[in-house]
Amino acid sequence: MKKPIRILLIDDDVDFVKATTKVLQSKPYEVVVAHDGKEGLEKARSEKPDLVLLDILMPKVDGFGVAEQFKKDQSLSKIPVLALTSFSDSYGQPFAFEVSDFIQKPVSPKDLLAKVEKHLERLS
Amino acid sequence: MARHEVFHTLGLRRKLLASRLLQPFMLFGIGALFVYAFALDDAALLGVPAMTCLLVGSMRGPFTGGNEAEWVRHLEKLLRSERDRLMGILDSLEEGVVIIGQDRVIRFMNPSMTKDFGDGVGIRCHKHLRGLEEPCTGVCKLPDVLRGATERWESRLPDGRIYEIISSPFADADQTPCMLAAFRNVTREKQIEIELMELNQLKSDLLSERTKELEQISKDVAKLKEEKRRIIRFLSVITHDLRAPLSATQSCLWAIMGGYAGAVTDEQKDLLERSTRRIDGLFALIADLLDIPRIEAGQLVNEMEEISFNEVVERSVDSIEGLAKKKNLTLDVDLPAVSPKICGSGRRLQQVVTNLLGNALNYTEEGTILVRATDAEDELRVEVLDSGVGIPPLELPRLFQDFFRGSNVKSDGTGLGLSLSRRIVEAHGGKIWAESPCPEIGRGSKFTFTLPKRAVSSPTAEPGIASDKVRRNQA
Repeated sequence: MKKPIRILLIDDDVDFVKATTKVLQSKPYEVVVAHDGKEGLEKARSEKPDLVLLDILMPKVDGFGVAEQFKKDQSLSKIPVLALTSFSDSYGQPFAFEVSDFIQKPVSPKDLLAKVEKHLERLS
Repeated sequence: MARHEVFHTLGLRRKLLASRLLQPFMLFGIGALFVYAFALDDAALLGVPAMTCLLVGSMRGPFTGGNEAEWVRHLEKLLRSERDRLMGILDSLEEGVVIIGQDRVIRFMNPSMTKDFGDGVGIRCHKHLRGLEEPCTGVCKLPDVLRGATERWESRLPDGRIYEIISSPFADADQTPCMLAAFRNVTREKQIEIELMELNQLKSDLLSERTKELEQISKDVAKLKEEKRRIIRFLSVITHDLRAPLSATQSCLWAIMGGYAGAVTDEQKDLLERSTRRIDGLFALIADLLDIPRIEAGQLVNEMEEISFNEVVERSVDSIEGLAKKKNLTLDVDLPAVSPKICGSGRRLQQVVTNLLGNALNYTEEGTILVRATDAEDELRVEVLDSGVGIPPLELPRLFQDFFRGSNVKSDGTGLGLSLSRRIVEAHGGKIWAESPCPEIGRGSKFTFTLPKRAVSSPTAEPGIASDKVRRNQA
């Protein structure tokens, strides 16, 4: 049996996580959840996800910090990271870090699935 | 007494007489020259009186024991010429020279002194030089000079003239101790000195004043910057805190609406759509509300860059093209052949054009909407014309105020669109206004905004971007 696709969702908003998980589970994705940046990094190393959905404003380590660690860590640097952004987060200043893509919050299910699929396809 | 002895005594007497006659002149001359040399601060001149001494001494030598009468005549001639020479020097001296006796009576004044003070020989010095009945108290140097001191000082006369005076002890022709004084008028020098000092004082006063002002300004600027940072930090926090729950709610509603949490009936879908529309409205209101202080805090400056002006208009047109098509309206776009490059916030200017186009669309049921940009000499001008319902004249002046809603309003906008547009245009140094009915169409309205060229670089020809009179017909 083919190994299921594993998506790590790092976001501190439980309601947002619940809704997004529902949407992602409509596809054959296994969703792993982390509620802050620190937990996100730990789970990224232990669960070896195929793709990461990353919130920006989070307690402990924020999205910027997580993205930086992903770039530094050779075992993680190949994993696509999609940043979940509120327009206000980037107000007046472009993001100072590199991620594979941005997804605007609130997340439209269609946009989310399309972008996730696009980046997973690139992997295979 | 032998003849030669008598002769010798006579000669000695005459010699004594001669030296007595000569001495005052010598001293006078030497004294004057010393004074002169001092006054001129020229050490080289100190040699002149010394030379005179030697000269007089050596000339006396050859006549010792010669013909008496001839010697006396010669001596007289010598004295006369020496005296004439010294008087000539004194006459031509620019400095005033005065001799004052111990009784304070002026015994001699050279022409320069007379010219400055008037002839005062025989008059007491304090009376003549200062107009005082009693000797000058505190400033009189006579007692010190008579005791042998040379004094150098400055004296300001009651009429304001300032003299630099050098006084030396001097024995007059009758051997009485006197004071020889040289007066040099330094009024002009002192005035210049005082003016210079005053100027320097003024300069340093001005400098310290400016420095204080600058310090205050930099303090104020630092305070304002801190205040601005505080506002922006505060806004970022409330923006996040206001948006996060809405964002989660919207995501949940969209997930339900999309059927990701089970099947949804049409009725449920209708209610969910209403909910999400209201949330969209709230998002727009939050964005607009927070934009106002952001723009007022001057944050737009951070967003300014060189942008292609035509692109701004075209992007706005693109965003509402679909709606115009839906309403069967003609949307005309008229842009400069060469896109002017401007320094501004593309996103914000696009917000303005989109807002104006959105309003035109909302209030126009049939006809045309025209967006026209012109690259004038000193400004860029954007006009949005519509053939819609227009604006009542009384409402025109209040159109750009916060939360103003006209009587014709039927859309559920935030009421901040035009006031935000005004702030954005003003932050670019431009102006915005409305006319209704539109002068060209005779109905509807016309909104115009300008961007001054001072913040705008000269348009560079870019044939690739050029789009001459683009016309988009959706009808």
